[in-house]
Amino acid sequence: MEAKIRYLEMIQGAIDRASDNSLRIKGFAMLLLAGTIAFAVREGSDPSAGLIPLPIALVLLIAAVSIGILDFYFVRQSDLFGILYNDAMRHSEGNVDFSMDTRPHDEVLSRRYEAATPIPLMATIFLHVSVALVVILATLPPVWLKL
Amino acid sequence: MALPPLIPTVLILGACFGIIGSGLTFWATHNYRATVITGVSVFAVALLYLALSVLQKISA
Repeated sequence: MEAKIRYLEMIQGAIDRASDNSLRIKGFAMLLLAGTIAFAVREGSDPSAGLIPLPIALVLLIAAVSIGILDFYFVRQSDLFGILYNDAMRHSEGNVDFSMDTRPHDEVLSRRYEAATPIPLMATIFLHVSVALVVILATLPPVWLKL
Repeated sequence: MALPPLIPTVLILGACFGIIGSGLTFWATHNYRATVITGVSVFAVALLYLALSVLQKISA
């Protein structure tokens, strides 16, 4: 029983690390967005200029996409290790192999995503696409608004 | 130079990013419900931006 408990603890540790990294990276994305907008915001009130200049917005966009890909990877890894945990629970005591290979569970995860709405994954995609959208919107000049 | 009005620009950008979000969600999950929810949510961010811009303009 001891071996099985140790194995489950190992997997739980991997889930914790992946979730923690995902959370940190989301915080970092928000910090980067807020910080860049705060520092890059144009002085004065020129109505023909956007809130932030286009070159800075493009750099921020690249950062947002990179952070988004990394976050997506961590959320997926966390889900994969969750499936590995469930699988390891069903192992008999003499059958514990301490494998941390999640590749055999890719298909199971795909079927799970299809069957049930994956809220954490959707939230991750929504967050990073929204950040990219806000960065682009911040470059639009307010003079464009004609009421 | 004639500048395009803000409202259609924001709506088009919102739709484009909504489609990107939907596409990514569908690619990752193959779940239609998740795809629609993500796309609509991203588009709602553009609508929110527009609403705030209009409010700011009205109050100025």
